[in-house]
Amino acid sequence: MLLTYLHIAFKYLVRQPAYSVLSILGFSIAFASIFFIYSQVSYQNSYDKHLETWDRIYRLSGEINLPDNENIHAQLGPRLGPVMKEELPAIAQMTRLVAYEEKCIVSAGEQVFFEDQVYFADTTVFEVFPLKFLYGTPKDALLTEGQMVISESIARKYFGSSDALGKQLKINNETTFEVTGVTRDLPENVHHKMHMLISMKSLRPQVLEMLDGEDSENYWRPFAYHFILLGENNTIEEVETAFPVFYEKHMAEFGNFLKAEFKIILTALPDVHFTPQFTYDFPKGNRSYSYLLLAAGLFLLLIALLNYANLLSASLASRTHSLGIFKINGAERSHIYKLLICESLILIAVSAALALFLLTGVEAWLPERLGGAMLQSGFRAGSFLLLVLLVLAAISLTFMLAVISRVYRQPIFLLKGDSSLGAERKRYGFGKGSIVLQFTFSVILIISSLLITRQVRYLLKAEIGYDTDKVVQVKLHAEGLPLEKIISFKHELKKSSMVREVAYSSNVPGEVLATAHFKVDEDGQEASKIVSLLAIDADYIPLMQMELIEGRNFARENLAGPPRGVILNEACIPFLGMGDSLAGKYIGQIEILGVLKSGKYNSLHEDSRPVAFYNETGNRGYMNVKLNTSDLSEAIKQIRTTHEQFFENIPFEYGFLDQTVEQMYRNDINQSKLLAVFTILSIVIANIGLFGLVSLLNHKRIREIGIRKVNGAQKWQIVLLLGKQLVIWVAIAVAIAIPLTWYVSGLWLQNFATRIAFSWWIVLVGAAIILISAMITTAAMTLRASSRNPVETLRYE
Amino acid sequence: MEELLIQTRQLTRQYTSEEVETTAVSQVNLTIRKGEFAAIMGPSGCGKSTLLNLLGLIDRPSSGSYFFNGSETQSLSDNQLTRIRRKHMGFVFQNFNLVDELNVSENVELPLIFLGMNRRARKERVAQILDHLKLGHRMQHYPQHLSGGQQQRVAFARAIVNQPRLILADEPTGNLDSKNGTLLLDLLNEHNRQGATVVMVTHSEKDASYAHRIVKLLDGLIVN
Repeated sequence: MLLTYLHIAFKYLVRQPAYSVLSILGFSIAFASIFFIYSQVSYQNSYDKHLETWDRIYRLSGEINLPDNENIHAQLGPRLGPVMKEELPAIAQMTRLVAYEEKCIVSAGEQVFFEDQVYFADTTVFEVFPLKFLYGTPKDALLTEGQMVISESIARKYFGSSDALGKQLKINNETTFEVTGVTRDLPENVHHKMHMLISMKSLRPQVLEMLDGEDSENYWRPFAYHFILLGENNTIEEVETAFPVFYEKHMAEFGNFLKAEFKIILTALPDVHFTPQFTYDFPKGNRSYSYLLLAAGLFLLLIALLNYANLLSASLASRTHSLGIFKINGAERSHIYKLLICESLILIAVSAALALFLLTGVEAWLPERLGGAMLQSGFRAGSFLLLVLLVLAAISLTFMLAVISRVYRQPIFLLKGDSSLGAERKRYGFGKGSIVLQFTFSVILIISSLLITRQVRYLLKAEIGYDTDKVVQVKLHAEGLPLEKIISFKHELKKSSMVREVAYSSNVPGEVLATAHFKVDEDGQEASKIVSLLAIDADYIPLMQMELIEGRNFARENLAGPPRGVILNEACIPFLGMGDSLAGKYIGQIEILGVLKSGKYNSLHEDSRPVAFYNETGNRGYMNVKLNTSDLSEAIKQIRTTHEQFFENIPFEYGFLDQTVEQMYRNDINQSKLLAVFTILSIVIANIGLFGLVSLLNHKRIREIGIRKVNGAQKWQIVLLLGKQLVIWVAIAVAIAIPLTWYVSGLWLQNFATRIAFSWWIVLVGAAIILISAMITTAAMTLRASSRNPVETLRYE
Repeated sequence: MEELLIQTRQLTRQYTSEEVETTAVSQVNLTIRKGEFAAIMGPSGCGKSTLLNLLGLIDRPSSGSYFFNGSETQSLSDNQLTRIRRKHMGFVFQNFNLVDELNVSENVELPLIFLGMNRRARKERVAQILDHLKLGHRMQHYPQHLSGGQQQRVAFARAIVNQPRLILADEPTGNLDSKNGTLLLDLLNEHNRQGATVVMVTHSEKDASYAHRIVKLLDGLIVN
């Protein structure tokens, strides 16, 4: 019997292509968006949850409050972890990761690449993080000096196969390590990638010696990431409670010396990627985007359901007659009900299949733009979502159909298409409400999307205080080479006609900068201040087109020797509290040569950090090349050739300053783009729903339109007649949407230190977009209806 | 005495819209015996069709009672009425009332589906009836592609496919030419002779001449 119903439903859908196509379109757009959003969100949500111990692992960080300064350090002193493990029984195991350096040159024969996240690790690392070994054993893989455990993809990258046991990798062209283990790859979504682990014993002897030093400073000094593994039956509160005693015993001495307070921060492993920016840590994810996307997805689903409800009621209105025939020929209400359910199921199934098909297409296209790994890993969990979706859709449809089928009682009214019973009125009321709701969601999405896009643009264009155009950053990695070589590399680059200026800097914006303590005189009191440091040469400030508020640039001839002075960025003025004019004053023993206008090197999610620039050229860092030309690829080719002449075994790596700055907001840009896409989709679906409702209304009013035309009404007057109602609906939708959006966007904007205000013109634009799109739909539909010959429409009944 | 199939007492149907009350059928007492062929006649708007709809249980009376096959119908639920309809009644309308989205054989099959008959039995029965009505070659066609006469024969096939006791026809020849009209009346007559009761609403004296009895209606009242 079910087959028969499906057969009839299918036939109906095939013979009502407009209705079927619109319903499927609405549903599949919504489904595809939701599958996609789900895969994104579940990618975020499964961060660092891949090993069975994940829920017992915590990373230790310290909030260090100095009188004038507070910082959360992601890295802490080498003694902290081992001694905590010895003294606190709740901790079953601990391990430390010491970064080799931010980027290493790794080579095996001909294969040379830059790698980040190369760590020295304790032998206990595989107890805390039970990685799966493909070759070698965790027990003795990192026991002695010169050993290294790599992931299978690293093995394949350098040796062509995952069986790399006994092979050798050279790091920074200086030290060679033997591969003693190969582990199975972890997914992309881990914060600390453990793809290259070196035995802790391989640290330089003087550093190794320091590891065991029992002095109090050895607990504080940023040195290693510490991870603890809780005992199976222990809680993190036990560690928290026990810590003050531990602090008094081992750490208080140096704390008192610094006049610093120390607060231990225990971050559960899955949260590590999402905690606010710590110093000495990697870029973080932002969960608020997940929530935003999830909300957008939910809105889309609701809009699609309402849309379907509208289309369905429009289609029911046009087929009351055939339903009447069904009833007269013996269909009970349950039969009709089953028929409609079958119809909905077919639509949902086809839409879901189409959505998956769309997504595979999108998946092939997206990786470049949004990170394909993200999509794939999340997608595996997507089948579960499919089920949830179907159930959800079925529930809402059942509810809806129950309401609708109640309307149809006396078959004779169905046959006559009689509207005096209030059935039509009820249905029309439902349609109106649902259209207002759909448009409310759309208005919320439009306003949020406009706000977010504007905020992101604002961030990118905000006063950073330097010109990012056509600046190539060539990575320098020339340890052990004489400084003269760097300088002649710089001069060689400058010879090209394509190059306007070349300057050295130790870092580029967005990188973690080194810091230094200064003792300064603040209102007659001595205060300790921590500022970030950036080494530059005298050509840097002109190259970046930075502006000096006061003072002067470094002198060109001052190449070697101890730094004679510093130039500060604008954020230092309020931070140091030494008055508005700083040039000529001293911090510590160092003279302040000048102050720059703005000069922001950290993400605008936070306030501009104080930075001190000092004059030094080093073996590591960047050679910044300002180009004269717009032929970027030719320029890069030239620079590469020069680089190869000077640095034989060092891979050529470069970036563009504008992209580097954008990179700090990569997440924001991507998410705002995504949200914009979903917004457009929601408008499309809402208009499909409107299309359904207008056709229902027109269907009801065909006679009225006919009579008006007979009596001399113009087409545009008829369009106006229906348009008037529409304006009222949209007005209601906007009125509902504004307070909601105002509240939610306020929450979101708090993520940014520099932010735009909630502007009313955005609300107006949102309302206008909805109104115009809705008017086009209505006008098109009504024009069609009113273009009919009045005789035809009058004969309608 | 022959058994009664239809018996109404003071059957009344009023329509109320806003403030106007219209009485379409007023205090009708009507009996129709099993096997009878009755025609209901009267001018436009006299309530013929309303009376037929009440007899066919597709509309409910405002007051009065209606016994079908000896059972009272007033207190029955929608679904109970539907069950009586699909088991015992077949309908033929002036405008055919075929489902545009279904083809000829599916239209005829409709009542059998709701009766719960299995697929093979349904197909057999539909084919047999359509062959009998010389529509066998049109089974896969859609109503829009048929002539009026053919459409009305499909509607007739659907009305008799469940072998009903009562065939209700509302101006069945109203949209047909005289040749097709006669053909249909012959079919009704044939089924009446085979035992089905027929109640037909008509304007035409010629059509009415097929009936055993003529019920005349004026302003909702029976006048003969």
